[in-house]
Amino acid sequence: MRTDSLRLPGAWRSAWRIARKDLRLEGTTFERPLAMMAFALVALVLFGFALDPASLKRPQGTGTLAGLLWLVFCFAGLVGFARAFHAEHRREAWVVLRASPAGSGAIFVGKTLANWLLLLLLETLVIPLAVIWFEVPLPPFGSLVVVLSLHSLGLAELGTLLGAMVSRLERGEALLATLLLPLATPLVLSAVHTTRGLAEARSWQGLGHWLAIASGLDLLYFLLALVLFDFVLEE
Amino acid sequence: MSASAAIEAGALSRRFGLREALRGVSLRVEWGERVAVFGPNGAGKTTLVRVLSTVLRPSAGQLRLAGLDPQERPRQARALLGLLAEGPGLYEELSVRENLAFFCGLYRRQPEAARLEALLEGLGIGERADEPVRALSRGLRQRAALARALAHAPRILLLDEPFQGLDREGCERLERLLRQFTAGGGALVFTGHEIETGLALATRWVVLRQGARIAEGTSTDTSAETIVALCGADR
Repeated sequence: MRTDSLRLPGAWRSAWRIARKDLRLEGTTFERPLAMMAFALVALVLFGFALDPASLKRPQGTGTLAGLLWLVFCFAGLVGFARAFHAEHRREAWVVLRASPAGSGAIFVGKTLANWLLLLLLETLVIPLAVIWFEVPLPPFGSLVVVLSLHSLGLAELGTLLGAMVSRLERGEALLATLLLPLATPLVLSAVHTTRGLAEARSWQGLGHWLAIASGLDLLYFLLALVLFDFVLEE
Repeated sequence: MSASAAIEAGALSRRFGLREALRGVSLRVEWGERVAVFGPNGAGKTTLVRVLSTVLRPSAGQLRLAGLDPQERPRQARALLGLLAEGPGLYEELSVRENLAFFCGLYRRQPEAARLEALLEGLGIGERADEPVRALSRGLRQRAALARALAHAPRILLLDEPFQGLDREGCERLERLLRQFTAGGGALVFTGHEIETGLALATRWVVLRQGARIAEGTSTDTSAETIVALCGADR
């Protein structure tokens, strides 16, 4: 058997194909984006009523708002991550996916990419709403994109890994929050500090070490997932 | 075709906790062979298919697919396989054609459109191929799942209960396709409870009970009654 003659697609190409499929499914059902957005909107409205909007405009208020926003992204992300593998488990598509030459690494990267893009879409919708609702200035756009992308990537990596772990368990969604939130704490800390720093100083000054921590965590979660994901996919 | 057998499984075992679902099963399948695996519920048929398809790692024993060790060269080994799992393994929101294009893309850089069309026609679902899978009846889903298993032109086909849910016409179409597949040099292993149909298609049969292989033989000198007796009342 001349297996070398089989022109297998590369891991990145397979990952992109899996991500595109996930996004196509979301675009058909809108199940996850709507659930995530509904959660984020309700949380924003509740925070809006619970907090004095004037206090958020004071210098100390930017930290509170940054914290609230990242809590909203974390919990809305949980809503999405918990359902990231539903399509695979509903009709045993995960068995077929696992038996394909894509490999667990490509499956992880593809699912993470889709989760990341969904999270970024949510943030793109929520941040302007928060800016209008709380009447606070928008941090510099380019810097904000970097902060959101870097920290959301780490959240998506953790969410995909843990989402796969709990997807076959009963009450897995509750377990997902229990596992993800402690592991994501350093990343969320970094996200809150950099978002607040950007809002207050409107520059990168003094934020370098937080960005380094976030990049390091992204890499750590990625490597951890690459090692563990094959075992996670197995029954 | 190389001298290696399509499948060489030596003393495969698989444990789930304390339960041993597969106990030292050996199986050698040559190119061009059609091997039926019979057995009562819980005999280990599905576990065997999952271990052979590399979805599950064996707890003990060796497996070679076309001479390749799936542990050492998983992508190359998996590229040879076509799998029909217990469920159809399809994404319900996507059309049959989209499902085929997605899974094919994980195996080949360029899915062959003409081949896919011929396959869909051969299984009698060409006219319904643009409909979402969720709109299809159980039998048509099974046909779509079989098309998915065959679409990337595998060399080894592993089918878990392929005749389940198919009407008489569907069974005849499938039998014709599978005979063509092995006539072209492919190797087939399938499980099922339809003993007459299975015996008519298979060149060789194996009976599993409680995870162990208890009997085997060739189809030409075996009656369905013999297999029923070996499987026991609960087949």
